[in-house]
Amino acid sequence: MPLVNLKDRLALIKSDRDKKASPAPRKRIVPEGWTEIAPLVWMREIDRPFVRAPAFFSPHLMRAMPFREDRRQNRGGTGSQCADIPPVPAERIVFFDLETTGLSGGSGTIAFLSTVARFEGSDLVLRQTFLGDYPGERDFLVLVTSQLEDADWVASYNGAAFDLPLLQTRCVLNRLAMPLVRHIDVLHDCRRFWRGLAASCSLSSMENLILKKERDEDIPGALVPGVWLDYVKSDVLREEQSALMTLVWRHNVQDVVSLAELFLLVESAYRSPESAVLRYSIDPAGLARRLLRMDREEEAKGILLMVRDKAEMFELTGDARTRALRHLASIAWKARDRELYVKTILAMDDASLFGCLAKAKLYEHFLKEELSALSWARKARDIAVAGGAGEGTRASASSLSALSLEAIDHRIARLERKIAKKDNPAAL
Amino acid sequence: MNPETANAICDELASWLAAQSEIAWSTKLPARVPDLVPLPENLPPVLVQALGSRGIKALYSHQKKAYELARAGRDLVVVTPTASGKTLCYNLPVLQTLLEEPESRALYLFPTKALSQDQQSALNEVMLAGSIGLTINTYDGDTPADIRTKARTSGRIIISNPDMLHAGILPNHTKWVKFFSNLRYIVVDELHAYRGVFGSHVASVLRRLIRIAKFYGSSPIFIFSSATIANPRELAERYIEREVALVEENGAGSGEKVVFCVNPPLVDAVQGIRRSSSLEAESVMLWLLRKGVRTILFSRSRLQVELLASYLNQKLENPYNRDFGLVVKPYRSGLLPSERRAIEKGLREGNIHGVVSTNALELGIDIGGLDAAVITGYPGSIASFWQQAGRAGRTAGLSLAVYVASSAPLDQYFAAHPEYFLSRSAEQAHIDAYNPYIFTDHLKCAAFELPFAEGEAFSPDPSNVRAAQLTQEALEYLEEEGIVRHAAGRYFWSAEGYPGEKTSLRTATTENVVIVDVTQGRHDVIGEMDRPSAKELLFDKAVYIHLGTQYQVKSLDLEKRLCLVERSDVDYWTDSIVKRDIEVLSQDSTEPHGQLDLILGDILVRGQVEKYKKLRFNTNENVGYGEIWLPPEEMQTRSLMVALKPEGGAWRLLREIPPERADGILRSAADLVRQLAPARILCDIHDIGVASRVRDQFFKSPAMYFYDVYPGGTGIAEALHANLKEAMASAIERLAGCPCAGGCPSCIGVEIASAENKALALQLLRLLHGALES
Ligand SMILES: [Zn+2]
Repeated sequence: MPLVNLKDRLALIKSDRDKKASPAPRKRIVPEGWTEIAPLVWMREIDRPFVRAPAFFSPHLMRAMPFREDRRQNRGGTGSQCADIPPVPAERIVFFDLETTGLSGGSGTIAFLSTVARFEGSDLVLRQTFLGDYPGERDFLVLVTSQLEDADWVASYNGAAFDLPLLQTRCVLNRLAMPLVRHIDVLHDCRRFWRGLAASCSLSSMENLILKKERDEDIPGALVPGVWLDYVKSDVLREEQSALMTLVWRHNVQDVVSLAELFLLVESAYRSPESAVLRYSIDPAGLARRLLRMDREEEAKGILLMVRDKAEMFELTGDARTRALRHLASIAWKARDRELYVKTILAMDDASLFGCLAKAKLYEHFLKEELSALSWARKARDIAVAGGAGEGTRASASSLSALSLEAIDHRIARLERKIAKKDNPAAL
Repeated sequence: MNPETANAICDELASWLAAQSEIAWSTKLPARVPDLVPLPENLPPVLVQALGSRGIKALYSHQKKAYELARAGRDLVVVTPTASGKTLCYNLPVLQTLLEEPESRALYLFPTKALSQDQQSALNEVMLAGSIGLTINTYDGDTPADIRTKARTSGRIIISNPDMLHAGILPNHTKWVKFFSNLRYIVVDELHAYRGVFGSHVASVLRRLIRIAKFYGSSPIFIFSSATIANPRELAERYIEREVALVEENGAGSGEKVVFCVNPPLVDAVQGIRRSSSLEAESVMLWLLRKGVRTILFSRSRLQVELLASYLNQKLENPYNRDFGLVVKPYRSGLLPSERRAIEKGLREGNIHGVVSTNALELGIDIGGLDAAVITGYPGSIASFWQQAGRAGRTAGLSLAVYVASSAPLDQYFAAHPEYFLSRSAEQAHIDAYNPYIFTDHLKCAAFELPFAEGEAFSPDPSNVRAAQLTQEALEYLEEEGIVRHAAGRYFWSAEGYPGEKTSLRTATTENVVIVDVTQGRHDVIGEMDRPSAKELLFDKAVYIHLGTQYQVKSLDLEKRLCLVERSDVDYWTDSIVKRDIEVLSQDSTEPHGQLDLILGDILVRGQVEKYKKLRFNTNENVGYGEIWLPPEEMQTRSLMVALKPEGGAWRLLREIPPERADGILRSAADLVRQLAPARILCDIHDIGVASRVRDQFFKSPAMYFYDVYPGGTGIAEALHANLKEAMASAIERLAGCPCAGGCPSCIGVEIASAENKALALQLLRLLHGALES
């Protein structure tokens, strides 16, 4: 950081201070397609025909997020709490995303671009609001919040952690009320469904992996703040600055379109879990866990049974399969469903450390067949010695400890003792 | 100690001190009877009950006065010595308001994190005892996320520190709507701890706090508490720029205190060399411990603390005499919290009889039960001196304080001037709330928090014209830099990221190096240290002493901030030699004075540790050198430069002697000026860096540099610019009056000691001083 001699700098500025009057905000030519709604605030509308625009959503099947930090004032609740809410007409839900001057938040970060989209007939209609300079912020916020307030539900991507707290901060600073709406953060479902598939669950990686889309021309999200800050501070816009701003507008539109598509996909997964698992490479254990939370135990079981019994229909990694079967086994255990439990354990992968150990435990404690237990335990030991934990071990530290070589040896020794005792009770 | 024994010991000490060294001065402060008044009448019953359960049935007069002022809506500062019940001064009015107004909130600020936790346990006692049921939350870097959310919405008293306010709370104030909207009181405890750089920063942090509170429609009352300083009201008023009421009478009782100022004996009268003040303090402490007097010894450096504690324990080790069982512990920063707690407990319970401490203990951690304090060298401020002296004798009865003057010029000055300690007007604490650098840094943070209006003063006082002007100028500067955007009458933050990330309120900005004991396969974390200190103390093969155990550094990894040490039993300790290099970056103003120029500007200081000395324990005999390979530490800062003009008197004087000798004389003269500067400007000697070169590459003539050791500067260079003539005058006085024959540590030092050099240095200073007068 270069040191500047502030005192001199201040003296210098002071000397020609009289020349400076309070600058008026810059007038910019409103680009084609945009309308000036208020000073420094522009809006435009974009229609995107949608192939499968539904008439109704069942957002209540998904997990609603608190919209404001002050939870008591939230109209939303958890999925199961509002399970009695009927499906809502498609136009009552909006898709929302902001572009801001910084990614870390705090009261000095502002939002300058908002897209709020909703289905109208077979079209997705996107309303984009743009703030041309700081003084227009209050009008910008009034517009954006009224668009949100108009809906019953708001869907966002990472809105719970970013967009909504930021919007709330801006409202507080401009002494505006934050709208009360139910909120669904699609990122949370995406994490459940596809975490195992992608290194990150960012919107762009979901776009690539799940929606199979490629953006031909785009600006990386990290560059967006700089484009706007540069834009507002420039007296005369260079062509390249306008071009970059246009890219930011498009970027925001594409984000919201992808958000809507992901929402549809996620929502359909809750509606027909079995076909969604097959079609969208959803992690069966992840979806089953969500369904269980909503007291949809039968459906959860259904998916997991499908993984167990019709493995050939899936393109699952061994890891995802093991997790699904473990989950099913734990459901069976809690329900004291002996048959389901035994069958599930026996269906586990013979080549995985976890599968072998589960079988060893099953034979030892459940079926009381020590010899079979011993042979599974020895197989587990071979796998552990050969190549560490193997598949299906993305587990908590406590369950990992059961997979340690030491624990396996301990089990083998115990089984050998039991067998010896059975063979020769008198030896006691 | 019972009074008779105490008096006897005191007399005995006086004659012992007189025999073995030189008592520069001594004084007896009389005992005081507590001034008690009844509890206020309209105190809520729950509060009366809570006080009663802690045995409080009456108040000290100053507590009552503070209570009444706060209840009347006045901002106030309470100045009371340690152990006079200052917490009740603010707790009482705050708790009453919180009980009466169910939504109201209070913020307690403490300078350090440790203290605020201490404070919370004290507050919890009040709460639990009377089941008052107010929620108190500590909000700092260690607070878990779920507690943070609760604290923001439902904490009635938030306990925090300025750093957290600066980096955590204010930039996210919209999450604290409820808190700020209902903020009634702000308590700033230990006001005297906020001075210099830290104080100047905190002034701006409080400005931001007031600004945000105002946005949410509240104007909280400020209650400051401070140790005894000369200008508490003025200092408090500098922070909030409005009238502050002063409560300075102390209604608490206290015992008698006897203070001795001891000058260690001259071991070499010709060279003017005195016995080391550490050794002197050590023998005073030994004497006291053996008389059964529980004693705390204060030493300024961490290393000295460790060395002294280990020497003392060695001397107390003999199991065949009556010293057996006496235990002394070192207490300093860098200890782990659990180690600190254990020492504090040992002192309270009596199985530890003495502590050797750095200033860490000074800030109000309650250890109690000590009878005597030994202070090695001037602790940097009069307030600190009385804080340290006040560590002993918290209960009734006689207590002792022994100030052992070092041979530093400043100490020798104080040994000759007891009135400096004893007269009412002690010392002016000083901050620069308008230091342009710090001001601008916080102006950025404030703009991030809330846009500035044209004409708005970044000041607690909206009508402060100077502040409004400075704010305007700084905002225009920031606009030119593209950091804020000026539009429609307001200035908006318009950069990416959060400005506070780059601003630390304290000098120590770098993260700490963790020290790990790896002896015989161990892996125990035994302490930590800031990076610049680590470079000077934890280089490879350095001897590091921790809790009396000796270690040697195996490796220092600055990138991983990790230092591995092993136990060792070598018979020496290590002392690094730091080489500093100066580069002039800018000359912002030049003031000609005939034969010299006074220049203010920016410099680059490069510090490099290259070598270390091995010094034998106890004798400090130099037994060898070692090399150090570490990257240099660089800093840009403000400097006052004194450049001699060719053919001037001073220039000629230096030209006429061989360059190497001339270098020594110039350096010694500059250093003496630095040493005495803190008597004129309120700062620590270590806040000022000094360098000099007879053949300066930049000025092409002899030059002296006095620079601010705080990166970017805190106005010390500017302050010294205004006071250089006076500082030179006291340097001349000190040098001319020093009884030594040819230079000593109390004047020009021993490196160039000779009668001729002493005379030359004096002559040089007189020439420089003469030039400044023209
Ligand atoms: Zn001398």
